[in-house]
Amino acid sequence: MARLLPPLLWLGFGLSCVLLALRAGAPPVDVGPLRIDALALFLAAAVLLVSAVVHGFALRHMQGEAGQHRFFAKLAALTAVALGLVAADWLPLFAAMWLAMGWLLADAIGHVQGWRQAQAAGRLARRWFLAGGAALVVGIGLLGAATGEGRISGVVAAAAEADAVLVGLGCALLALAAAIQCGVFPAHRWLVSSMTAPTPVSALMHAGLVNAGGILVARFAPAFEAAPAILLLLFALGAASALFGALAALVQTDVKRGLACSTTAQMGFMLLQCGLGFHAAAMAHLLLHGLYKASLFLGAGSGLGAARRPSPPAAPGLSAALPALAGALAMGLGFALVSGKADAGAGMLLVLFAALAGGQAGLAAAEAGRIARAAVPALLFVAGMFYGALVAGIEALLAGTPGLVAPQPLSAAHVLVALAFAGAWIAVLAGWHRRSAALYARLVWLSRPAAAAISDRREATHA
Amino acid sequence: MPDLARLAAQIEIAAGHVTPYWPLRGFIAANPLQGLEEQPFESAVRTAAGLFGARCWPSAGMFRAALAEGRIDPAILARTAARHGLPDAADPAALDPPAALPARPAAPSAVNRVAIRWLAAFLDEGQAVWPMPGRELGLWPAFRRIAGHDAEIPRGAEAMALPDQPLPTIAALLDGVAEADRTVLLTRHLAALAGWAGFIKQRGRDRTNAWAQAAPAGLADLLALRLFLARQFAEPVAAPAAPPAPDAAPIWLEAWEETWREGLAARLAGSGPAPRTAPLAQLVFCIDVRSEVLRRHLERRGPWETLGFAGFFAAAIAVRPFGAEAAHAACPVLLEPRQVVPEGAAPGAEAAGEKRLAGLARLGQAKAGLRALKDSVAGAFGFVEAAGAGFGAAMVARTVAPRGFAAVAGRLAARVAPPAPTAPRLALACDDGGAEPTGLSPAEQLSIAEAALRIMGLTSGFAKLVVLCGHGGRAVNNPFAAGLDCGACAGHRGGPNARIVAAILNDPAVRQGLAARGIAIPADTVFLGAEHDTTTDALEILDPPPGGAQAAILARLRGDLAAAQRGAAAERMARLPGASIADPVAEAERRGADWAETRPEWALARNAGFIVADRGFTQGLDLEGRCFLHSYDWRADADGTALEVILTAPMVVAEWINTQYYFSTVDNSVFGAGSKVTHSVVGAVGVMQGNGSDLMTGLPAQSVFRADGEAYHEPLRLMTVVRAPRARVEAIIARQKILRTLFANGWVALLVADPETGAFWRRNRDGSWRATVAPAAAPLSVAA
Repeated sequence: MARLLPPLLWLGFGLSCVLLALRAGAPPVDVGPLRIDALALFLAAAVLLVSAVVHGFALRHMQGEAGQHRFFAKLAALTAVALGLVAADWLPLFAAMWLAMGWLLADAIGHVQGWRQAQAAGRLARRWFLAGGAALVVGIGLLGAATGEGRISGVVAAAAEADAVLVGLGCALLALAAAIQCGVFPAHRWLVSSMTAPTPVSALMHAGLVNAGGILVARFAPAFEAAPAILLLLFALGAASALFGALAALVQTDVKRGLACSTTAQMGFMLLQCGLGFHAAAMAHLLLHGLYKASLFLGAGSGLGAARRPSPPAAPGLSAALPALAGALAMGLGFALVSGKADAGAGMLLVLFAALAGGQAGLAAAEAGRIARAAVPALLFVAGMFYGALVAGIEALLAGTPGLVAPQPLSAAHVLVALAFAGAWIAVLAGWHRRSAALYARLVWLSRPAAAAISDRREATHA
Repeated sequence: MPDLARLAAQIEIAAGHVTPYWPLRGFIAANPLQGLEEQPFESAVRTAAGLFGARCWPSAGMFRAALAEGRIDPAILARTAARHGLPDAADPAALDPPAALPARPAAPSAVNRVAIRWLAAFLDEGQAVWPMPGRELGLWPAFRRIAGHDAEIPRGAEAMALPDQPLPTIAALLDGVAEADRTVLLTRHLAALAGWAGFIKQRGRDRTNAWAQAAPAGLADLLALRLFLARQFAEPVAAPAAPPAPDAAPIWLEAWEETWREGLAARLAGSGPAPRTAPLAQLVFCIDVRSEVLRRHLERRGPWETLGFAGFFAAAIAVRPFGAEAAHAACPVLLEPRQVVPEGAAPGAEAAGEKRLAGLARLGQAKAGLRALKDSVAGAFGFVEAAGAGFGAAMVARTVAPRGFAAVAGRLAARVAPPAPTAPRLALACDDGGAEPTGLSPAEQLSIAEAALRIMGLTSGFAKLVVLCGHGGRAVNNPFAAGLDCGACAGHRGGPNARIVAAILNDPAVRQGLAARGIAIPADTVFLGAEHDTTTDALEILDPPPGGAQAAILARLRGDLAAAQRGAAAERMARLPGASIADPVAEAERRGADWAETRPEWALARNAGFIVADRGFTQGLDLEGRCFLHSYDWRADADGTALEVILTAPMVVAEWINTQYYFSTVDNSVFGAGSKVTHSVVGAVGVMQGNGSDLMTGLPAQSVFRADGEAYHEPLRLMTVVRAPRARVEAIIARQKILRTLFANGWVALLVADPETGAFWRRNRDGSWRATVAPAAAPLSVAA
């Protein structure tokens, strides 16, 4: 039975890609409570792609595990619910899909029966999801009441003219629901406690289901635009989570929790993009990070190769500054030229993150020979253009869905965050963080799994 | 102030219960009850059950399944029960626990939880980008300094009021504990997280691991840490609740073992020595149970003689593969490697070698750069977006077409770092900048050559071609991949050892020395190093092909090897769950290349016998890959020297493997590593379960279970079969305490097939012997 699913999922993926290409720029089609627009097709393609891979992987990986039927039923149900969520336009349906997703996901985290710590992790996730679901239901209710509309498309069209306080409050609650679903700091406890889930579930979760927070914000983008303070809040929350997750990942000693911290960071970055008004770019991030993270989770068994020599890495000297700067400039320029983000208000921030990646790559090249050093900036320029083209291309694909590109004006807060990231990057490269045992212990503490979700006794690992 | 020396002795006693754990880089089997081997099996498992909260006998379900499948003979079961004076034990109802005890869930342990956090941090070998501060000071001093920052430890800063040395700290923390209770208390603390404790024990002794100096830790440090936590949390260390063991369990296990053992004895007695023709080539395989399958399929196809010998081929060395940064031990852990033998570019291929080294360096740089990007605090965001599509494409390819992906990835890697012919650099040299010279002196080479040939019993009748076959498995995305490699090479691939010993045996000076010691190798005999891929049963000749008469022999051998591979793979694929058997070799290759696969092969599952005999004794028998086969020529070893080595070294290692399989099967949570699907690799040394746990020692569930609750491995204790005069075996047992310990305590059973009388003797645990005549018609004599 489960064997039939991967071909079906691949078929669905192909179909949504074709429809997406054919219908680029075409007006949305309403089918009962659903709305099939560019965003729905794009997200459906992303969900189906990851689900197809995870199903194919799990068929071999889970061979002989107890409760396989339950497992594949859950996986299929999660896929179906995610598909429903991305296409739902009718507010009650969207809320129902959201709640069902949380319920099923918590269930999957506690999949291994008779393992008390898995049950505890599942319960913890369920509590968080119920809180997030409650925030979502009330938020949607407020937005519906403020606009008098029963569909998302209606709400977002009328949000600008509706009562600002109600809309702001509704958006704040949606932002809360999004933050919990994304597992961003400080709502990350359920995420770092979820490794009791079989590896394929983790892949699906980190590649797909945590993204629902970003999808929620993107779906209601015009409403958020009517509440710029909430957008700024979202930006700040995202930035804090991005920085926290990136730092917490440094101290992790086990592969999967390291990946979870990285997800907390990356989801923060996605919300940061939303907060800047670049919802389409956030959708690009969602897809690309999803592919990246799913591949790392499925490949988590390769972690022994990480062994390094005990000598601490030497801080790059000043001689590395030039290649780093060249890399940063090359990649930033390439990205800015093709994506056009440098011209659009706070878009400068996205250019900065592209440039920081280029700078890090340039540093790696500083170790290489002279020929490589000369070639790397050129390569990074091309990489930046490719990256810019991806973002611009996805923006173009999603142009049919309104409100997905609404850059916020550059503000002092944005500049502050930019400085914080550049500063943190340099501080970590220079090794300044290593001087503070207190910071180390704090990061270990903040990124710990819930106590009840740790298998503290060998004999209790499995019943 | 209590006597610190006495305390150290008490710690030493407690530490005796800790089984060392080796990092998964090289998989090394160990009996999880190693410290209890001095006790009879029954009392050792009783102690272990109380100490670890473990089940130590097969479950009632396993016994019933074995009975239903005919693996327990009802007649033997009834006989065994009667002999133990418990005839009712043969009734399956006797397996049910006396009363349905409600499972008492152990109280959560904050001490364990916090200890896991800081042990994982301290013992990390390169996974964390930012390691725990102060590690160079040692485990207790580093923890003592950071405890105050851990918000979960009540008044953690009080650690600073304790001494900086572990021993005085333990003394202070044990104040008020009666002298008589101390050892038990310390033992329980060490047993509470036996995996992490085992790793500390191993790393403390491992002089080749640079981390042992960078982050030194001893069991005294661990005890100081745990005793401090126990005081702060006011948590007494309690004995875990062990599942009840029915009295019938030992009887059922014995019946299960005897069913198999008597069957084996009958088949051995019934097989006459095969008519021997002069072989065209001799192939020496590792004693590993997996060799038997390929050997049998190969022998059926042509004039090939095969032998069995521990896969390190008596070279107790460390090897440094070409392009590798560091050397690794490539001999059983019983031995201490004294010399490093590096692999270099083959003579005449220096330029290709340089090119490969440069390519490997480039690959290494690219990997390090990629890792820095992934870990970059600010650069990871842009990187993930720019590279996400590439990761996605690779993910799809690996899942949809694992073999195709492996082929393409292999070709790409070969483009960057083209393979170059290599050769072991045997001669003593000091040219690589290391402090110690590398290579082997002529005397060392000669002694390796002589030991290898004498112990395997190949001292005359050399064929024109002798192939030494090391072995290794194939698995990707699998922390337990090294578990498929050669145990005799300390959990590494055995190819390098095979090449080194083949080169030694081809050396004219060595041959001269051998001749002087009575082993004349004909001038036209050529030794070749090869490697048996146990996942696909392919056999790759690693040394350059010889010319002359050997070329034709080799060509014929390759043809027969390919046919043997098909036969062996078909046999093995039929036993693996979920295997498609239409094209067994392709399926085997898929399993070795598939990142989703949790059972690339069965490795040594179902091992149950260790046969020390010439191949004629077992020839033609289908031993189902369940027996270690060690070659032994009883005629050429009158004083028993070779047999003594075989029984005290390879057999002991086989016992470690056998007990690891046994205990991983009977309680996979406590002695095994649990299911792979919820593993997380920790510290680049091992795996934890879920969000954090003890370091999971032993074998994962997938290595011993076909499906959840359905064991594939049969948990039978090892039976050693020796084809030699009984008096010779008795003399050796009298000389060797380790053998008396293993045989008398029931860890290993012994069957002697006396070639002089043709009689089969089983050794009773009290040292007496009983004749066992195997033919099915004859009733089995049972001596109590």
